[in-house]
Amino acid sequence: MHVLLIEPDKIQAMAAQQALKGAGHTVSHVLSAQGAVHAADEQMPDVVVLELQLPRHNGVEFLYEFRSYEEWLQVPVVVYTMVPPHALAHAATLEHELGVARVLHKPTTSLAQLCAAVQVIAPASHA
Amino acid sequence: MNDQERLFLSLAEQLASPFLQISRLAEISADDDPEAVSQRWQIVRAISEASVQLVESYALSLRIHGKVTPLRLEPLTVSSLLYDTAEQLQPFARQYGVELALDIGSRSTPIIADRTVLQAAMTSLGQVFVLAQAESDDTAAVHLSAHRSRYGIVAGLYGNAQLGADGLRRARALQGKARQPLQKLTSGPAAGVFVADSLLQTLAARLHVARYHNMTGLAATLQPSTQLQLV
Amino acid sequence: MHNQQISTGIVLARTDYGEADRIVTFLTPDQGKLRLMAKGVRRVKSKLAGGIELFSVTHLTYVRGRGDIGTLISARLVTHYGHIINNIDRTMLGYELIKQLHKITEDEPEAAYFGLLEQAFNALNDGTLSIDLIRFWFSAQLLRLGGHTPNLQTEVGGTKLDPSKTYEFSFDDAAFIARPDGSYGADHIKFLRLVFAGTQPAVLAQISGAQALVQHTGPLVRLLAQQYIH
Repeated sequence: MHVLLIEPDKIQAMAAQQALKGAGHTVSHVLSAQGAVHAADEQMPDVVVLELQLPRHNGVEFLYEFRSYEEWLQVPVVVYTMVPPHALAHAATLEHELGVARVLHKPTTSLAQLCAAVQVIAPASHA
Repeated sequence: MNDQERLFLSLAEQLASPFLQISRLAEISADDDPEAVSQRWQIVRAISEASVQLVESYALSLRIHGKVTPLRLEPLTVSSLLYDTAEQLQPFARQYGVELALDIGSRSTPIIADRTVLQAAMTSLGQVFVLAQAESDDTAAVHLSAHRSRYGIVAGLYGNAQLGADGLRRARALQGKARQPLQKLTSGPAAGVFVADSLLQTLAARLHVARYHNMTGLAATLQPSTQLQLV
Repeated sequence: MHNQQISTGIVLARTDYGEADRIVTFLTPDQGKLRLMAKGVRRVKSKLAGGIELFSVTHLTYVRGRGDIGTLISARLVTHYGHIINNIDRTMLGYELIKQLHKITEDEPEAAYFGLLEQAFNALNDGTLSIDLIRFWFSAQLLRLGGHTPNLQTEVGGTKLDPSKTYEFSFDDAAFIARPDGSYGADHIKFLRLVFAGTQPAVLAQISGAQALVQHTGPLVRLLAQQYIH
């Protein structure tokens, strides 16, 4: 599967990439919402892993932009974020309206758990 | 929340990131070859030391503001201070692939300041600029600069982010309340900016948005000493 | 070009059109909802930036088309409420308000709706104003603009509201009924009067106990909004 990883922290990104590649996926890593739109344009992702706290635009903006393109409507998104659950009052909206398959809190989610979440989402979309 | 509580909250949110980085590096290192593991340890060391420095800077600001520790004023040159700051930041910047550039001019006009406080402020600020540069697709360096203006010696850090006075003012109001108070600069809490601000206040200075050549940055304007002139 | 038109607009929605173009729906103060084709935008590396950003007021130059959709010639940012995105919940509320307004307004909404959305962005952009207050205020303004302001002067039956009494709210009559140990007192009703008079969120936030008043009267406004708007 091809994973689009949107993560502004290069060190966290390096670790996540290694884990995802170890799980058998190919990974495109971008630092920003803008970069993600370009990357998705160049290679259609099977899954997007998204940090909500991004520079200049945030992950919610990216999601609204991403979902406004018909070809990206069905791409599953896993939010993997520093934003804690209590600060994310609209998690339900993310899931119902923006097609977020899982919202994972980074400090309490290991990379192994991230990979498992990506794997669970994959079969339905990777037909 | 009072100002100190908001600063502490900002710092707490900032420090979650390096702890998380260390944890994730440890997670992927289990099956790594020795060379990769060695590289990971270098990263861990650099981010740990930077985090300790940030915590120490914050603690120093608390001690000075709380009059637990007095200021130790001495003559120093801003250029030498920025040189030392760059040295201190270098391991951290290297891990993020960010270059540092020094623009310190040839004349060294002395100022009277507490060296520890001023260096802690510049290093804390420098960490934010390194992180900000690392988050951009731009490969330009972070510049540490000291130059004269009609108001004094402007010492600060500069990068490619579009910062404005209004953005800095809002960031101060949002510190500890918003998770991304300086989003145009960096995605995180930018605690180093506020720690630097708190430290500089003890020197009767404050961070302001500054422009230097075609870059924007954050700097403090310091008063040159009229009593001392280095030849 | 002699048939160029100008206006200012706030983006309500964007959709694809073909391989290279996007259709952007703007809310304007003078032309209602404008649907404009932004040509070639999908090829240009500026999909998340530029003159047609969300949470912005944009100066538009366009040409009317034969049908519903005109062609956007240029878009220049007038005001960008860039601090809304400092906070995830603020961002999400911003989108929610845009969506609400887009859904409940016809193609020819009054200028007041443009002003409302601008004020909402302004409030959201102010990081010190509570999200709950802004959401509450917005719902009340939608009720007001839709002609659904509750009766805040007299109780059911026509008697003037008495500051020494307590009341419950009748949703059937959209008015208060006097009740001993009622949930609403003078402070709540005064607050609602200010809100439904269109008082800005920044002013409402200055009222002593504003947060508690919002929490107490919020459900009333929310239920009214569900009844009349959503």
